[in-house]
Amino acid sequence: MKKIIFSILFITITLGLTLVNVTLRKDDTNIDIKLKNIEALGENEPGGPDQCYVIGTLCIYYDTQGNPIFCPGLALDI
Amino acid sequence: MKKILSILLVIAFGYSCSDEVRNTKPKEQNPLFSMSRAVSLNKLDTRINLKEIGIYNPTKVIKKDSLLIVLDRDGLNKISFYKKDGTQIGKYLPTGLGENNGLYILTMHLDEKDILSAYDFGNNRMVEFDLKQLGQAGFGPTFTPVPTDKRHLCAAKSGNTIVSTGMFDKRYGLLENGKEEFFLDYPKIPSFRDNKTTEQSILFASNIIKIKPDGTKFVCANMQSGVIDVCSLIPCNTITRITEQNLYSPKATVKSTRRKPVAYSTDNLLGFLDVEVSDEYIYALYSGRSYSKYKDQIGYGERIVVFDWEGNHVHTYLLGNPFTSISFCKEENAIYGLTNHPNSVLIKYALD
Repeated sequence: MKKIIFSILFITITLGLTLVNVTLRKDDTNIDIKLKNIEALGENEPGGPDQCYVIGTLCIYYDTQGNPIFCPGLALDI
Repeated sequence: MKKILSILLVIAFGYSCSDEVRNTKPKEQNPLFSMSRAVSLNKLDTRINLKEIGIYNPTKVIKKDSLLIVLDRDGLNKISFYKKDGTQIGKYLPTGLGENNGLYILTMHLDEKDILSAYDFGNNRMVEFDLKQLGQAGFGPTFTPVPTDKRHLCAAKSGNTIVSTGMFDKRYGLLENGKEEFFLDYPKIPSFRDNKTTEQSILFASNIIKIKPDGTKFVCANMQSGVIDVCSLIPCNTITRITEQNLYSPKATVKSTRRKPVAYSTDNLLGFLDVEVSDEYIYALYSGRSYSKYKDQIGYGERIVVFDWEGNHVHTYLLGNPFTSISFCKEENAIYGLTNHPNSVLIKYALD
């Protein structure tokens, strides 16, 4: 009996976690909204070329007015 | 029983959070990582100590007979010409926006007709030098502006044809006699399939494009991933794909809401640093380095992956020195590799 309960519990948890994982990947709207809030708080932080690490590639970011800026560098997630 | 349950839970959690497989080919068949068809380049021929002749930290150096053509991305003048002994013949494209200036140039190419070309994405134009006129009065750059309604970021020119990548809805732009058309889709990568084309164009923005000497095909190698694309320019006015190889998908966060919509993971392996082409082959210098491990030395590669113009992997040259850029010399059948660490040196490897 115990074995059956544990098996059901295990399958339920696995499926649940997989579902959460897939949902988070496919639809990140909620995360986006939260990120937007966090980014709005950090609006005054210096951005620009500082975000582009110097190597021979091309870095694209948006200025505070939402205009794309193009410069040499590597846009890293640091 | 509790112990077993805990182990099962840990395995289940790990499984459900595991990342997708990024490499489309198994490692042992992947020319970016495997040793299959690998050839060590040991025929070290010539070393030109650039520092000793007054050339510091260039981005790319092409040797043409006794001439050294130097691209310096961060220099006061973007392109300069030197004799092999270091005597400067001329310096062009002073940094800036405007007539005769140069701003952002990632690479340059010397074709078989002695036309040196480079794309300046800061000034939105192709820059060309006709080396046959070097030393004559009036020698200097000629400019071909690209339309600015859509942003072209990387480009190559052959005759009147310009192939480009940029902020387009399609993968490639084709400019011919003032006419602009766009072709093909962005690489299909499962983790980025739901992204808009704007984000995909940013994700695949950094490319090296080289056109086959006869002008019939071109190769586009991505600098931030292992995606390499070979396309045909025949018949005229179209681009058709011959092959697209995704040998390593980019590892990046892509979110339209960010000020930096595409940010590469520090664990992402940098892709193709430079590409050279001949009538038969495509020579692609591959980095495979991550920022987390190599920091400012990320922009170096120790293998040149050779493809034919159908996109088949021919062999891989394993280099004794890590290079930041390469140039192929047809007359000498040699590869010249550039290193700037610790000093700027140009190293020649003769090919078989």
